[in-house]
Amino acid sequence: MDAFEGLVRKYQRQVYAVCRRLTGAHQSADDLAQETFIKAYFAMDRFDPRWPIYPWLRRIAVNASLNYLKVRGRESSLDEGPRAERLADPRPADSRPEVRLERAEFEARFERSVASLPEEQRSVFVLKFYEGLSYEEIARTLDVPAGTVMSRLNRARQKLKALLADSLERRA
Amino acid sequence: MRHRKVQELLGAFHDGELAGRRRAAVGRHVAACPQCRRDLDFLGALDKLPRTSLSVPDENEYWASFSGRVREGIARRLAGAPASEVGEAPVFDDVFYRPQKNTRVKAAVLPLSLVTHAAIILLLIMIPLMKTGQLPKVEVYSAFLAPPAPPPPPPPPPAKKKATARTARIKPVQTQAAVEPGRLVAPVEIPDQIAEEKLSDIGVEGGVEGGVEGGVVGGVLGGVVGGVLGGVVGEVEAPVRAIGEIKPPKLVHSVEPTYPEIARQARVEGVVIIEATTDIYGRVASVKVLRSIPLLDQAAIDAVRQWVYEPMIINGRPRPVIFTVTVRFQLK
Repeated sequence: MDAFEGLVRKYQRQVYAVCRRLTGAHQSADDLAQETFIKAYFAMDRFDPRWPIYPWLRRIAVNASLNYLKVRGRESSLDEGPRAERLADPRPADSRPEVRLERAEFEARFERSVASLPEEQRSVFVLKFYEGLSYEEIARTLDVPAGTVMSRLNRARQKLKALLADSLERRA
Repeated sequence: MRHRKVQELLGAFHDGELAGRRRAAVGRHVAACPQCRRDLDFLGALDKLPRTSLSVPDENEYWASFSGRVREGIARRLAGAPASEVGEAPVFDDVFYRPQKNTRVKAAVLPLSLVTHAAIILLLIMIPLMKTGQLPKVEVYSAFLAPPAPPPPPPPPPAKKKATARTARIKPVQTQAAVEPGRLVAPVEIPDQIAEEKLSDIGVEGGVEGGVEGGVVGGVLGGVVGGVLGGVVGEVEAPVRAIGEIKPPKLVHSVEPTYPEIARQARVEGVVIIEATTDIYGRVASVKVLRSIPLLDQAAIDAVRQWVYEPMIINGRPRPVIFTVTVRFQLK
């Protein structure tokens, strides 16, 4: 149990982030992250220790999130409104408050844009952008052909471009 | 390579997922296409965006207690209850997410099902047309459908024979049953020929040869039954119509028609014209409605039948007369 608790402590943020980005709401992400670890605990005997554990956990988290979304429909992330402003930014903050504010605004907008993507495209984009997976790994995680991953990712990026192009250019 | 195709592959090119010739082809196109270069720049800028960590309420406390909550969830699950609201599904049901795999097959299902349905409907229409089979034999009972053929016309009457020959041929039929005089017996079988009645059989004492049954002793040959002694032979003649010089007879006794109640309530008025025939005594013998008012006809007939006229004498003989009578019905 102690070893498992160490595992939970090590990966809890990553697992939560995957769930949060896929579902877009803190409450469901919290539930799904816990659920992921509970499932992992009970399925531990099926895990091959020769493989890294995080991809396995991520796959459980992704599957749990997608199943949840499929069952519940997209949950509104309205409850995130006030909290989204309290972005915990680990990087050194810019001294100029107006720059900081602008960046925070843009990041919130980017998060909202990602959250507004259709579920299929969002899952592919999250796995690519935040998790840094290759097309092959995404295809395996989501159990879809690699060509589908490519086309979904393309559509997601095109939508994001339509939503964000002006701000990105301004930043550049 | 075409621009559109390159646009599709641009993401994969950027992600380093293309290899060999495709990669080279896309690279060549991008070098020459400003739009693709801009798109590629956007992808680069997108990738450079910071992966902001997500904000969580009461961050430190939340993460510190996270593993404890997971442990509680495991304990609850071991006790048999769902760990959280998302855990209502069976425990390992969604450990492995199963997306819709055979999307290609599914895409083909709709046209395939359309074709199949069309084929089945076509077959359902065609098969009955092709396979007519044996039509059921319908027994036509003409008796129920059409009136029976008229009976054949009666055979033509036999040629007229001379009276002498006829009387010679007709033989009197011997009646089998003993006929008691004065009593009528219904014949049991139909005789072949009609026996000439022997009038003398049922005679009246003091009757005359050639007299009429029911005649009166002392009556005249050729007289009318019920006639008056001293009457004229052949006095009943065809009725004359009261036209021109022959005036309708004079009414001796009339009965007022009763106004039918229903006609009164319906307020039906009018004139019923009746053709009346009087006998030689002036009594109305028969009537015929010429102008009818349905509700009033019967009352008019009933009245007129009781009327009595002066007998019409023509050439010294009483004659029946046909003439028209009008009966007026008027409400007061």
